[in-house]
Amino acid sequence: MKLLTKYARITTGTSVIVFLVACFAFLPFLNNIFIGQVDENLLVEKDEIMLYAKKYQHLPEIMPVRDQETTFEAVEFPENKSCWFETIYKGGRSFRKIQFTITIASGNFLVTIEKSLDRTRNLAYSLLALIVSTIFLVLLFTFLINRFVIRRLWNPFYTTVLKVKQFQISQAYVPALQSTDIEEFRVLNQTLQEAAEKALREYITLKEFTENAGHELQTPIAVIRAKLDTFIQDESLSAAQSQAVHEAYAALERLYKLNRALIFSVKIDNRQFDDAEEINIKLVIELAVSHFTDLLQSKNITIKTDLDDISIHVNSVLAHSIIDNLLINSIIHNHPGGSIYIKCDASSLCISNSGKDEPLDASRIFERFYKQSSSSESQGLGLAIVKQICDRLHFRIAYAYDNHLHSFCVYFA
Amino acid sequence: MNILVVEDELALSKSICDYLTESQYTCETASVFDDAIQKMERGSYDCIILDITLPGGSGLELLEQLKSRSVSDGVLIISAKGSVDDKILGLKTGADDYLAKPFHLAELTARVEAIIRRKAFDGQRAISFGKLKIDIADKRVYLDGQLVDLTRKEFDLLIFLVSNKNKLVTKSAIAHHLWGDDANMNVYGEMLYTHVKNLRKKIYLKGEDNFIESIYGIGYRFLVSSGS
Repeated sequence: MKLLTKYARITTGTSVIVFLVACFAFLPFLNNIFIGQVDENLLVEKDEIMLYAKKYQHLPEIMPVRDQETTFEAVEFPENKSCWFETIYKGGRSFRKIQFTITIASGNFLVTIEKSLDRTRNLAYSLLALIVSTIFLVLLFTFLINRFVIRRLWNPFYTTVLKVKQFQISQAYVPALQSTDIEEFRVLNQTLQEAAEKALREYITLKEFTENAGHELQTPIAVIRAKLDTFIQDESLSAAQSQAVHEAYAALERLYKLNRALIFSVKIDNRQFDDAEEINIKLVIELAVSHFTDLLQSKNITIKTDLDDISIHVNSVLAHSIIDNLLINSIIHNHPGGSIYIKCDASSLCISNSGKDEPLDASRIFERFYKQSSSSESQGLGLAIVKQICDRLHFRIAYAYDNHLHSFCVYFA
Repeated sequence: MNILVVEDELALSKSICDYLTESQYTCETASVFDDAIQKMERGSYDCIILDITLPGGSGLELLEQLKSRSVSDGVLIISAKGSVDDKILGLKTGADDYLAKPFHLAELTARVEAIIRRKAFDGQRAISFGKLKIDIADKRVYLDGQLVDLTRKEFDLLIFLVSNKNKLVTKSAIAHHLWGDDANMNVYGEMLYTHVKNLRKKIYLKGEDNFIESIYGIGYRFLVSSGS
């Protein structure tokens, strides 16, 4: 759960418990104070009565006072105690009672003064209500503060999280994290920024190295090929030697193609194909189809196209590469006499072909070097390159198998 | 025919010269800027094979110097970089053609031949081998006086083999020449076989040896007896 929620739960729970405990402890304490107050009043009354009785040697007249009742009762013997207090309940109400004896000329009397505790009760309830309201208000405001103020205080954190989420090292720049006056977030931002910059520097270095290495490899490959080209001119080669040379050529060919693919792939990552122009997709497709005409004819594959005359803003080399790779794939993995269907509109380009009678492993076909069969017709790089280009251009590519047709669709933006 | 190879990778320049020498060219090499300048000033060449990625950026400079002296030497640029910009720059500076490393020697030879042909006779040259006559400019082939109906690809194939006459050319080199650098032999192998078969049939004269020899597993050779 969120930090705030956890924190709020703890503080709220603690607050409520503390307040409740305080209440429960407080109430009897309060009660005692009130009772004490009432008792003092009763004592004052007692003193007044005793003074009067002593002075005038007869019982005072009782003025009717609200909430208070004084009664005299003749008794035989004066009590020993000076007075005693008691809380009694009469008719659903509670009273505080004081009793004492006075001795006057006419005899001994037990005096009972009862004072209603209603007022004190009401006072206590009002106080309780006040306390409860206060608790409630405190909780409410704490809740409101937590909700609105703290959420805003966490903003720098969430902004940073969003920027980090969007960070892609292949975009080759580190986003600036906003400055904040909260120290914890400042430290966070600074540390993240430094880490990202360091990672980016190392990434660029690695990419440059890979690109240079790729180029450097061209020359030894050229030398080997040149030597082999010269070597085979020797007519005294035996059949076994010719075979060896043939295999050497084949291996060199694979090396050459791999190196080319590697260089191309690194160049894409090194943002060398970033400038874009308006490319008419229909023309590119038609060009690719004409380029592979011989191949299509020799495999007796029919092509059907449904092309809208649309242009998209993209780099020319990358556009050609996507289409060439998808098309050659649909030819290679087709069976003789098969068919290819190309559809293109403003939002997508789809190439479907007949071929193997079961769907390909959609989760792996875009991996480098993955080949459905061990056919040496492809190196398993074509689709990986198409995927890399699509990722770079923020296009989506998807594979579907439907009605014995394998379809690859590229969705623009 | 005089060729100058300007290339800092000695193993490569040696291979190129060995190959060309066997085809009756004379070939010299230069591996550094100064040596190349000297050689270019001393003599004239039918074609200069120039590595534009010569260390120190001097390859392009050499080309500029060459062009400023308005010599009629043909120039074929070879480059390890292979980018489109590179190619455009080279051609703009005055090179006749551009070939990216790594290349097949057969391809290199075909390009050199094409340059020399264009320079020497403005492309108006017909080559003959016995009863076979090839009119390059018109792209027409005659066998014993009769016009031979060749497809575009068959014609390209013939010229490629003829440019490398008496040399064994690998199937791979032919495939790359006809269908581009991405051509995979496993994909185009069968087509190539068909094209060669058809071509051989079309230029075959009864009673004579076929011009095109097939070396099993490796490639083909256009045979010319010395004297043609």
